[in-house]
Amino acid sequence: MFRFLAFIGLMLTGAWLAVALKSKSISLAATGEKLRQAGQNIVVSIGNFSSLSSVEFSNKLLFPLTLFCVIIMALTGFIPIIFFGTHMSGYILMLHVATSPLFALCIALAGILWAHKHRFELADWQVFRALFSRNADVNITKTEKNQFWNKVCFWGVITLAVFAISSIVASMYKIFGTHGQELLLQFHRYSTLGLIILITIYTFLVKVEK
Amino acid sequence: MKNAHSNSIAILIFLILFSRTFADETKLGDVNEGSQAVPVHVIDMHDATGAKIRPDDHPIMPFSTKQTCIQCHNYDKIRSGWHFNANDPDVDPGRPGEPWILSDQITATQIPMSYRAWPGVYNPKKLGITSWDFVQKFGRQMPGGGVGENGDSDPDSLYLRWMLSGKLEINCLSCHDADAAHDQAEYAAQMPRQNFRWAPAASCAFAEVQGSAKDMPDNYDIYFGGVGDEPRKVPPSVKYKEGTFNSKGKVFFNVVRQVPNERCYYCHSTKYIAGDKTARWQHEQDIHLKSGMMCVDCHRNGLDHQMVRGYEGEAQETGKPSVASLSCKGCHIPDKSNSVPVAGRMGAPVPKHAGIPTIHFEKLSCTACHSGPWPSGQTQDVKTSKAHALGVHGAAVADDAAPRIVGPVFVKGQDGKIAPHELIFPSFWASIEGDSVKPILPDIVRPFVVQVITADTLTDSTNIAKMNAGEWPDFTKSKISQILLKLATKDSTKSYGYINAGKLYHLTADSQLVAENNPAAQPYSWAFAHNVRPASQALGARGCQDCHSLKAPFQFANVVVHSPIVDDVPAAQSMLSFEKVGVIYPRLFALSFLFRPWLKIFLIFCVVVLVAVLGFFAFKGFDKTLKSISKKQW
Repeated sequence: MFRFLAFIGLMLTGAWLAVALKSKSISLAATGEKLRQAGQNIVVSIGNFSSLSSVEFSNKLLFPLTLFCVIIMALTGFIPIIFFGTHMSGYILMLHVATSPLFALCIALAGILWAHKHRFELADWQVFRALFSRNADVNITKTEKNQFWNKVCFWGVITLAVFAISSIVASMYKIFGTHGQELLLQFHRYSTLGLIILITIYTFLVKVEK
Repeated sequence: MKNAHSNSIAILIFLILFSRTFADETKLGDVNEGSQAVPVHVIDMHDATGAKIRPDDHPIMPFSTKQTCIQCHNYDKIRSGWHFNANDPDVDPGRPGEPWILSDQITATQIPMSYRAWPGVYNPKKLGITSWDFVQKFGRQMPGGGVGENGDSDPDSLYLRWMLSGKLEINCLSCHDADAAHDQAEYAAQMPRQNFRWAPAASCAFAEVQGSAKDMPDNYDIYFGGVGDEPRKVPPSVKYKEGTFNSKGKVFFNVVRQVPNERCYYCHSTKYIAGDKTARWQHEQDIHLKSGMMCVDCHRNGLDHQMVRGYEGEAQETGKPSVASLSCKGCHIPDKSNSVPVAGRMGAPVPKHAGIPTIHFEKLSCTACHSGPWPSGQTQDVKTSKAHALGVHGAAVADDAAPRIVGPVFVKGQDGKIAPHELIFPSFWASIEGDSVKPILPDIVRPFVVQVITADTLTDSTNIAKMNAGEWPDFTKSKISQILLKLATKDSTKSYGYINAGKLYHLTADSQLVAENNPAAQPYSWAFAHNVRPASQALGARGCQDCHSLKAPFQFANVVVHSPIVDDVPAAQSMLSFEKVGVIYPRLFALSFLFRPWLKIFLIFCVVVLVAVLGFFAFKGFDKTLKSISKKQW
């Protein structure tokens, strides 16, 4: 079941992203180039770590590094299950586990540094009403809408990250038996699936729709 | 003419139908009428011709298990059972099991053999071993039947010997005799004497067998005797003890339905030689048996005697779904897809397996963690009943007696799961024809070997002593070369080699001895499941590092390779090579477990931070919401 849902979920997300990028006249090659530049920025930023401002730290190091970790963990986590129907094992498992502390650190820092920026305000309530209430007579701009969804994605990522990390940590202790281990694995899988989808949307909104 | 022809056809059809009916016949003793009590077997004994045996018969014949038991039990159906059908090519061989091992200590030969088509074993017939020879050598730990009744496939020259010795019928008493005085060793002792007809009686408490059919000429008549003036040649005979027959000439057979464990042990015992721990009291029994179970509680069978072997996947292979409930998983792990709950039978505890990721159950068999001795830095020597004739009078008792088997070796099996195996490296002298390496029987090679290794008789006392103790003699590369050269004189059109320790030793064109890899030298292994250790002694009971550490024997133990070649001692092989998980990865993965405790703490810290952030802003938002609501006028 998860294999099917993950495949559908990631395919739809990928399709949406492709359509959205196309609507912005952004080609895949350009996206790839941006990712490559982001990778370079990570390396440069780590080299100049002590001289980074907080904005540069967030934009040039933390965000790309988080994205990098997510991509690694997504590939290592989902390729075995979607394409082969098997659990992660071998070097793929080791890469996934090796990346996990960096990912956890990045998400924790993102939570600390960006939480205030992504707090919901009264204006967001108006946007919510405009989007979901039939009788709302509020006019909202596209920027406001994107900011709203940005915040929703951010807090969704933080919440799902809690589930994803805690479920896998709980499985490392002698607390849960086989049935519990299966449940924890399912928690981890579904929460990471949601995590990837939300991070994809968040990245698009922040980097493309800004 | 036409009528005679029609009558012949009618008779033929009748016979075919009758024989089919007879084979499928349900006899008195084969019907489960519901009584749990075992019928008391006070019955007539019948000899091999079917005639009843009476105490005043002269000569008195040994009873035939076939003719005696067939009165109430369908012998033909029973003989299709697993213990008796090895030589039936139509029977699915199933998972590779323990082979018979043709062992000769002087030539340092150990050839795994089986009539079943398991990959890596040699068919005795293809090696040139007749059923006659096989039964004499291995009938000691066979319950009869199979090749014991298959003398028809042997050369005509053995016809009279089979007639004299009789067939080695299925000895029902090998398993079903509950008498404490049942002596399977006496049964085994009849094999080299060729007393096949007398063997079942020899094992019984109420009969004594003397003499030897082997000493009798081909034309010896078992009814009329006549061996001439040779007092040392005692013809085979049986004597029933006083009181065996009751007033009606019937005999009490103390048989039971549920085979006592003692009967299984005679053929299915294993001894692990663990350093200085060789005494019986230093080894634990299987937890199932200590809990009060019997072997046959799991290894069940019906009238067809198709014993349940109990491994995962057996149900699919045999096409018998009910067999699945008699595996480790079937008893211990609930399966929600079953319409009727089966797990927990016989009080089987359901394991929690707390903290064990489910991938372990895909990669490992249950036995990997629960069976056999706790793995140590290197494999242990193993002795088994079938290989070392345990319990047989006169068998070598030394712990390092040939053949050399090692274990536990964790091998990835055909089902892709790692399970503990016992393992043997074949060792034999062979003829090489192209890519084909064919074993030569030890009897043919022995004279050459003896000539070479005892050439320096006065100085070669070590080898003489070893041969006396049942151990392999010491070979050198030079001696191997000499033996191969002597073999070449036998037939110069062929080339010869010596398979040992995973290599093929052979002479090059310029008589140089070289050793190279060869498929025929690959080790043969078979999975085992006993003795099962209790849960508190399972791998992983002390934590992940029972297996996931750089010193864990499960992955990093050495597999000892025995060899008689003293100047080319083979290096031990890595356990990893049998588990097929690579070499670098297991080490890296084991290394990562050093950091695992820190990883857990760090991840928990990150979760706490995230929860704190969520909580803080949730409360803040809640606070603002409440203020906003309270500002509104109600």
